[in-house]
Order: sequence, then C-alpha cells, then structure tokens
Amino acid sequence: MSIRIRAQEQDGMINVRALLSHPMHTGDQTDDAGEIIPEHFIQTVEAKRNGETMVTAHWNVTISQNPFLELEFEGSSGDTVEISWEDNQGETASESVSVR
Amino acid sequence: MISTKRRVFLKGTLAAGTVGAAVGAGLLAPSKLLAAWSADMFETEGMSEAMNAVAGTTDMQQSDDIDLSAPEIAENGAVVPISVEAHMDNVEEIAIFAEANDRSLTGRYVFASGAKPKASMRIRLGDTSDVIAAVKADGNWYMTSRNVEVTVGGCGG
Repeated sequence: MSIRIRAQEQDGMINVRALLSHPMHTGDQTDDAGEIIPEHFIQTVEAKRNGETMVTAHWNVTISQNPFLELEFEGSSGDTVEISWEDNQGETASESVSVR
Repeated sequence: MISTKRRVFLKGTLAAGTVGAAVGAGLLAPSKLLAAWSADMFETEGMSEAMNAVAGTTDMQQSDDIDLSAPEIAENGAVVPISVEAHMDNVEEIAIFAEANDRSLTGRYVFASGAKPKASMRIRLGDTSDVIAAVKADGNWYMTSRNVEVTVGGCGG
C-alpha cells in the first residue's frame, strides 16, 4: 500500500502528482473462486503542505484501481508535501516528500 | 445571517478548543480528524439524489468558467482520465458525478485557501455516461458536463 509522490514548484505553485497503490474493489468483482470481493476502497485523501491541509478528497468505489491524483497549491521549493489516505476497512497510509 | 455567523463561531471554537485539546492529550488519532466521508452522499443511488445529497439542489447554473476534460470515447471504462479546473473566485469544493453509475457521486474535493481549485483523477464508468463537474463558489453551485462513450464498462469483472 505504497504512495508515490512527485511535488515540483514553479512560480510559487506546487504541482503534486501522486500514485496510490490500492485495489479499490467495487463490490461487483469476483475472485477466482467466483466469490464476491467485498468493497475495499479509499474514502478520504488529504494533501498537506508543511502540516497544513490544502485539499481533502472523498472518493467512491468508482475511482479506478491504484488511484492517480494531481493537485496544485501555493508553496515553495523545500516545503514538505504529505499525502495520506484512509479506506473503508480502516487501513491508512501516509507519505511525505520535499518539494523540488 | 445569524445562523451562519454562529456556525463559523462554533467551528472556530471547536477547532481551537475541544479538538485541539483532545489532540494534545493524545485522545484522538490524527486520521480521526479528517473531514468525515459521508455515506449519505456516496452510497446514494441515482444522479439527482446524489446531487441533492451533496449540494442540497439539482438546480445548478451552467458555467463556462469550469474546464472539464474527459475523453469523448473511452475504450476501457475501468480507467477514464478526468480533469477539472474552476476559473472562478472563492471555490470551496468540486464534486464529480457520473450519471450512468449507480453510485453517481464519484469524488468530492474540498480546497483550503492557497489551493488551486483543480483536480485530476481516473474514474470508472459502467456505461456511456454524462460526467458532471459541479463547483461550489461563493456559496453557489455551478456545473458543466461532458458525455463519455464507453466501449467496455469498468465496474465489474
């Protein structure tokens, strides 16, 4: 359940691209044995700059597997950008990078 | 007006007082402070029902100030790239709806000041669908939509 983040500053704006590793099961899919796989999806994503929340996203099962996310907010090179998520089964993940 | 001010006041008090103290005392895990995910919005089936749950209305003004980019034809409904950018002032929130999905609300993005009101994502479409970007700015809702033709649906399998 890793998170890969790329954060680059240009003209005072930080462009953030993140790839979140997650199955995002819709509840409509079946496994090899034909059993329904229960819903398993990221519900909340937070993007923070130096600890301050800049964007909060809430998602449904209809966001694709291994979600991609692109955001932009004010900031400078050297700032810390943190992306964290929580899914419907209570699992969480978090990752930080220094803005280039 | 009075109730609005009261709400702002309560919000401020709670943020500075109760919640802050609880965090300081280690009573709340940080993740519990994330704004709540709403089953009322996300588990609602049907376009107008979902829109009502999010915005309290389905009557949104069409706006040319919202850029919504989506493919005209998606060969794979499991991965449809969507980008939205709102070019109005004081944008608080962007919501993405897919009319043909049972659960029509796909995502909501809430922006703090300093964040550009734009977001890119990849979504699933079960069938050919109108994709709607709704934007809340200065307390009012605006929308724009694009039709995406889906060759192979993307929710089951």
